[in-house]
Amino acid sequence: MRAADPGRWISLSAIVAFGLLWELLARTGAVDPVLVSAPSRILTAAWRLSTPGALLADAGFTLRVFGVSLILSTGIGVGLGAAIGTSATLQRALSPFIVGLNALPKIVLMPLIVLWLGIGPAANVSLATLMGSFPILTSTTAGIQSLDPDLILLGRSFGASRGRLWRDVVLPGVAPYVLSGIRVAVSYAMVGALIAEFFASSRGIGHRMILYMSNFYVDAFFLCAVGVAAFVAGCTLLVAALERRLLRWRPPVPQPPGM
Amino acid sequence: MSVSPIEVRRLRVSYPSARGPLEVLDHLELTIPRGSFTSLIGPSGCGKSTLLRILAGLQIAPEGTVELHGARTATVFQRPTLLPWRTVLDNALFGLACRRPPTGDDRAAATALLLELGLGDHLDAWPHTLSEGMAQRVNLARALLVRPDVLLMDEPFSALDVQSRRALHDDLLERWRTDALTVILVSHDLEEVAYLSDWIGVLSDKPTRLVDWIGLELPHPRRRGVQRRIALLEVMDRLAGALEQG
Ligand SMILES: Nc1ncnc2c1ncn2[C@@H]1O[C@H](COP(=O)(O)OP(=O)(O)O)[C@@H](O)[C@H]1O
Ligand SMILES: [Mg+2]
Repeated sequence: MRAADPGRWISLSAIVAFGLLWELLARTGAVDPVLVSAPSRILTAAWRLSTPGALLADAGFTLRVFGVSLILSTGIGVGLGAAIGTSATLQRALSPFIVGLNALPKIVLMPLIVLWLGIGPAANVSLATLMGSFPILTSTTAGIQSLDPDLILLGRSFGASRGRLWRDVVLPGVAPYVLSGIRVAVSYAMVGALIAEFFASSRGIGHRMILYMSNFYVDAFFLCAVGVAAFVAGCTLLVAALERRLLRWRPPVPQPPGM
Repeated sequence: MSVSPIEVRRLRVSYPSARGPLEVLDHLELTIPRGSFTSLIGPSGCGKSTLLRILAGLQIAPEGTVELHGARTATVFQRPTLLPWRTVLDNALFGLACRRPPTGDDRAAATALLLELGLGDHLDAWPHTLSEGMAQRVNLARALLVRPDVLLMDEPFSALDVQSRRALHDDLLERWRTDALTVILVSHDLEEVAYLSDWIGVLSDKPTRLVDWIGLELPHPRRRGVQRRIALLEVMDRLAGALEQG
């Protein structure tokens, strides 16, 4: 995407400028670096980490919870979303629960999850999956309902089998919606994984952040926060790139003036 | 060609509606000669699309029979309905691909047909870049490429401007002659059916019957010269009269 390059440079420059400003404010004492850290202090913290192995192990734990949850979320979201999108009865029957559960901040369910599953990866995966499933479910339903019924009729008129219709008409039509659901689910699932660790876990990046904070090690806390943010941003960009690749056939969206 | 004609016998269709059953086709009888270019005209809502869907096997006749004697049909709908994520060439091949994976020969045939239809420069284009007329040509190519015996067309030209419409008329006549097709065209454009058809069925308003069945033996091309245009106008006059009666 050559055309996006100028925009990308502006974003990169803004990040660098923000880092420099942060550093400057901390160095001149305008803000207290003990409380808000500074880029140089975060880098130093990374360098001097007394137990890098432990941090990496925690990162690995969180990554596994995140990965498993994202896969489960995709399975559940696509499966339920497709079922609801294709059956009006199912939609009627399930929508009160879905709307209700969607409105509920999933975090409040964590005590229940721990009660049922005990403290451990299963509880963390449950919360992260619960949070990750919804955006995929709703976008899959929307994708199926946005399918042009004439395309299905067309396939049928040429004698396409059900399998062929799903493969050649439904799947390509719905895939972009699923991907945009996954793009949102990436950050939701990570939020779920981290919160579960804040709440009830002796492992994971979230747990480690709490640990750092209770030792008033703000620099290391920031190190984790920036690392998570960078990882989630990277995943989101990856999914967005996949979306763009899948959506090559779309007419370009006109840019509003002044952007 | 002496193949058994397409026969519609005592076809009756009614749809449920708020005010009781809506009688659409009322014991309709039609005999459409194979190899003919037959057009059906009738007021909007009289059941033309319903009839075509039944002929295409997309809808079941609740009462009466439709006998195609094994003829293979392909349908050209009013809207081009292209798969937006497939290129022009792959859209043209979609009808074939519904049955079996397209071969190299199929691709060659599709390319040749698209060239003939004036889409040679657009084989790899996405549908959203096409004009309405070009899209409708892809739609036509897609139906022709399955090598149907009977081409069913449901107001395929009504969204087109006059130029593209006339160009497509001639392309269609050309394919009809070379491919030994039977064409069944639904339209409400009197000039169009008079220009194209060798048989025209005029349908009444609901409950729908056949009110006139006209055979035309005018030489093609029918828009050329004053004599032929006058003959065309006479046919249109008769059609308009029949429509008013019905
Ligand atoms: N699936 C359906 N359910 C109920 N009514 C229908 C249905 N399809 C068509 N109709 C009605 O039947 C009549 C004939 O429809 P149609 O075959 O589309 O007519 P035409 O193509 O001649 O305009 C119309 O009044 C239409 O509203
Ligand atoms: Mg119609």
